Amino acid sequence: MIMAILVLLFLGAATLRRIGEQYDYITYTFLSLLTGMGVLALLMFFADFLAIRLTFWNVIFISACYGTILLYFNRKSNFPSKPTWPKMNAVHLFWGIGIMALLGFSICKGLYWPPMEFDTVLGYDFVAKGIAHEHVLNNSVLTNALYVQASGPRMLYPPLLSLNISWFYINGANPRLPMVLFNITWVYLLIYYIYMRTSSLLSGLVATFFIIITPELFAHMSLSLTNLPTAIYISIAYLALIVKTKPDMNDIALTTLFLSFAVFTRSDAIVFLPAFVYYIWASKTPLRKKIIFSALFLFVICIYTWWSLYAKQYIPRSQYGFMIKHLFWDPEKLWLLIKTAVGLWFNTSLYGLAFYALALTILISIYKKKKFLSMLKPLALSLALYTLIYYQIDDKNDILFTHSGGWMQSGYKRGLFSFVVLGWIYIFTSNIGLQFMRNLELFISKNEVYINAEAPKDISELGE
Amino acid sequence: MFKNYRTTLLQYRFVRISVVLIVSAIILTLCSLFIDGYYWMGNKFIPANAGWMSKYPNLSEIDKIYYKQGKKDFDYIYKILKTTPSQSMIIIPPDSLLNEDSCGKLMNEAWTSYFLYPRKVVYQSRVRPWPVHHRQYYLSINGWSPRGIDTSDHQGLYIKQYIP
Repeated sequence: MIMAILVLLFLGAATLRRIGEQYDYITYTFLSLLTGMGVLALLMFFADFLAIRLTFWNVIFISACYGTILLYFNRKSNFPSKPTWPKMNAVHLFWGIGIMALLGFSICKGLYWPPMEFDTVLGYDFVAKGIAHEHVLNNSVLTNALYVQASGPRMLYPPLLSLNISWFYINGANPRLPMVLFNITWVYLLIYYIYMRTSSLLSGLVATFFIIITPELFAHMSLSLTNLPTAIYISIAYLALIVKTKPDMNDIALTTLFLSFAVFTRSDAIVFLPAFVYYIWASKTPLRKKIIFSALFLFVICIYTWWSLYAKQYIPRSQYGFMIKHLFWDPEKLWLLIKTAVGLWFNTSLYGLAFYALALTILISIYKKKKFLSMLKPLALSLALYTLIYYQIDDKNDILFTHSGGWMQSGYKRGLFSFVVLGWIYIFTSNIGLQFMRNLELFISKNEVYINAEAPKDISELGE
Repeated sequence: MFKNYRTTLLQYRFVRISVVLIVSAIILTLCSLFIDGYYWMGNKFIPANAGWMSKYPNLSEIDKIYYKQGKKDFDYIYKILKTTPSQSMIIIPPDSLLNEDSCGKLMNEAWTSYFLYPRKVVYQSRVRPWPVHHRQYYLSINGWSPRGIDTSDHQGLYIKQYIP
């Protein structure tokens, strides 16, 4: 188990050697772990592509080669700095302890129960067992037409989670550990980035608390499904992009990397690509940098295409078999889709107060004549694109809208995790949220509040 | 007078922190009481799971699966797991002998294969020709074996090695 985690840390640390200069070593460690899981999956995928068997020693050898090369080329990079701890009081502790308790519970529950939920059994964990035992990705599980049919679309998703679980199987460790690592790193990075973006630790803590108590999302923290890891990568990619008024090359590289990992976890995360590109083009970044940044995002498209071609070659089911492949106009279907989608957004038993709080923030922003669109547009664009994917799904067998287990009630519902997390981030980084939380922070502090000079003071600094 | 009193009190940071703490606690309590998702988390999901985990901290992995999947669904799988080596082939009786009432999810080939993996699962009536394997076992229901039904054999369920 320790060896498995050390390899992830090594891979992540080597990848982020240059990007990590701007972080303290605790943040660097957490970022390395999250990056390591994505890099390991891509390396294993690449090794399998080159017909290298995915055994323990082969993975160690490939990781060592990859890490050594990157460390050699970045040998002149500075080491991460020492962390500076923010001043905390009882209010910070109150929210912090709440987060720790919830995280502790989800870790214990995750490690206690072996994988047995339907989507894991007939999906990610089954493929992982196949990889660990047969040492190839196109093993007897992934290429078995019966298993692929029985698993719905799950085995058609890219294999980031399955490859990570298989790495832990290969090491003889608990297959739930990847999810535990995802959760721990995510919670720390959410608090860190929102704190850096808003200059308010209380914002970081309260936002993180409300994100993880989202009922449906909290239940998934102890399961091995792909929706939450996608939301984790998307949210950190987004936060790395918005943390500074003018994102530099390192921030964009980190965003690209995490967006690629999200797309390598679930293909539908590709809807965030146009939103992120739009954000950069709408920002006040110089034109030359905008072009370079947009070119970096081609890496995401490469990952998406690579998996699509692989799936077409080896998996006995078409990735797009359940889609209508031409554009069409069906107002009845569209209306039903929007009605069902909006019903899900505002379902408090699934997402708690997330979408209500988002709507309230927008309404207050309009009432107080505050700017609110610059950060809302990418979120709305990706949500619209994500919903339209479901419009293109062929509903001939009534698979979309049935109450008991239609795709809207299962796949679409869980895919909203990314939007719930981005929604809460938006609430706390909008002008209204920033102002309120900073005032509250000042109210409970000794008039000495840390201000991150690189973070935008006002949302309008990001451009419209 | 009240305004002055309030202003004076709020001069103390301790009072300001206490006010924010109390308001935070009230907001969270109201959420957990009146928002159904948070109510489910705070009053059902977390207490039920925490209670179970503290009551049975040392349950074996197989017992946890057995408990969660239920006797009907997992009984056959459990017996096969306990009596056969991992490198073997398991022959499942024909579909006519399987029914959901008595065999649970055994009908579901993919589900059964996951729990028995890396054992190779072969459904007698679904695979033609049979794959060759050096260690074959079969699950017998009511005297069924790959050679046919032996009515003199004992009734019920057992797992036996099959040598063709």
